[in-house]
Amino acid sequence: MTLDAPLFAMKPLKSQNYYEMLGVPRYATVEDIRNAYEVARHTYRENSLATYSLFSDEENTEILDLISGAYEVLFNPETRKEYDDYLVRMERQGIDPATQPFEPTQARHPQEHHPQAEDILPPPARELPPQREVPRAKEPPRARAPQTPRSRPEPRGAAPSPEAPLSVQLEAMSDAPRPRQTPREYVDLSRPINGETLRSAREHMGISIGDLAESTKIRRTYLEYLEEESFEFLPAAVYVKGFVTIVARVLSLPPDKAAEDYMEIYQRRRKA
Amino acid sequence: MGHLIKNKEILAIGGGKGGVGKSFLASNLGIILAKSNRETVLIDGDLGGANLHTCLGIPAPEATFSDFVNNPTTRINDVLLRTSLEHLSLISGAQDFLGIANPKYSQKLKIIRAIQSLDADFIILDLGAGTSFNTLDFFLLADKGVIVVLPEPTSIENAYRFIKSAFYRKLKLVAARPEVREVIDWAMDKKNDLGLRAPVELLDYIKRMDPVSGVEMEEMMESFRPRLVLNQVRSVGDIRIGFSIQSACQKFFGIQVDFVGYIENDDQIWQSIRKRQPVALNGDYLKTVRHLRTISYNLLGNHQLKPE
Repeated sequence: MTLDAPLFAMKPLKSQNYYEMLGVPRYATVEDIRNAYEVARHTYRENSLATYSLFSDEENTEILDLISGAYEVLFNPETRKEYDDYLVRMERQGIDPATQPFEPTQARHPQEHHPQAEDILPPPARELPPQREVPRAKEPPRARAPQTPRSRPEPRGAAPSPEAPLSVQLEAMSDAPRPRQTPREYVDLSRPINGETLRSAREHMGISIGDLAESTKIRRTYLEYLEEESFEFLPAAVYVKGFVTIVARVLSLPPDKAAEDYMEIYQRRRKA
Repeated sequence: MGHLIKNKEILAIGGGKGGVGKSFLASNLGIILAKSNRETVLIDGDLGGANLHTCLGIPAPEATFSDFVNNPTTRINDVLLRTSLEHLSLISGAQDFLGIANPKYSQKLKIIRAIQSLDADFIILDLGAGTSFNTLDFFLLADKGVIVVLPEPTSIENAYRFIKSAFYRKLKLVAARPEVREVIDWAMDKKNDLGLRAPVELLDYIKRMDPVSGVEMEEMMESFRPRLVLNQVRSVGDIRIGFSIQSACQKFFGIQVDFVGYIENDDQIWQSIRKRQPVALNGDYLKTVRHLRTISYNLLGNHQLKPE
């Protein structure tokens, strides 16, 4: 498995396009993009062996924020398609993409904006959680927890519909820049990771069950059972644990915690 | 550089620190190439620590590269030693190779041309430790420069220092205008008041200062593409460090470093070094040799590893 061409132009990170930021070619697969993001997460963290002598903690955070933003757009096939079109448009018009920020069109419809972690966890006591009905796969993940101001301006959308969750309405009303989060931050990690968590994390990242099945090589039905917690249809515990670990990794959830939490539910239910 | 009859390639093996396995890599790479029927010449360029002959298990030779450098009547072929392995020759180093008092850049070019004139498919230059101008210049003059690094703080710091020195050296060599050179000198000074923290910002600054030479320099700097080999790897996490170094170099220097391979830590290696029998000579089945072959493949084919 090899890459041949240089992957980026020689320019500061902020003026690089998303592919250059992640250091992947334009033809990169979803898997390549995820792996590149994993590398970045390990590279730009505190006490990283590879960066402590080059970057300060603040610089590391800044770099990882930019890369996370790139990842969120490129990981989702729909926003990636939009971004590709945008790059082509910029190239045709001879505009430096750095001077004209990319704005995903879907983000202009806040009513479609997916619920935040608080809306998802704990799972709503309804038969069918509303998230399931909304096609949120179009949305690049975003969230509100303010950390550092972002360089990429977030598009402001129209007023959300009254049905939208309160947090979304509040968010749309606020004029403060909305920072993005890395995917795993959507999930309240102080709570146990269950089937619902897996599903909402997946939907937040705009990955369909089919995509997930393709990238994990786990059968689609098993993934569905995993999310539904239909344990009776799942294979032996050791396989389930493996599935959860793999799925968690793809969804940027802590794999060990995911496996531990999920298996606890699994064991408890099996005993009952 | 000279007229090429064969599609010759000079590979320079460098990297800041001593003892990271530069000579190990050079000698075994040489053996792997020779075994695949490519004429290969190994040149020991280790300043004061010539030991490539030891790595290959041959006694200290009489004719050395310094004879060629210092004596105008000596031709480079006169100091070429055949080894017991077909297709593999050695030019042994001596205390004063590359140590000749401040050779001018033009002299270095002449040495490189002489190296180029060797009748070989591959020439592997083992540069030794340090970041002296000699080492840097030969690293930059080679077709491909390989940096060997261990997954340890000191080694990584040294590798960065090496890349940084080579980067600035190359930048100054390609900078035509004195004003641009001055800016580079400023930037090299850590406490520069231009606010340029990373080398990648320097080039951006030059581009704004002088768009024409900035773009020109940018193009020339794009050919600076060191290859990275991670040695003495002990875990999957260690391998990841290779990708991290690659990413950090991109963000800090704005340069592409190709992570071409790693070598796992293995007792077999130090045993082979002790016995003065290079692993690649008769250990085809060993994991280490497989790793070395991957490195050779990626190095020659301009490939690199991909994170998994």
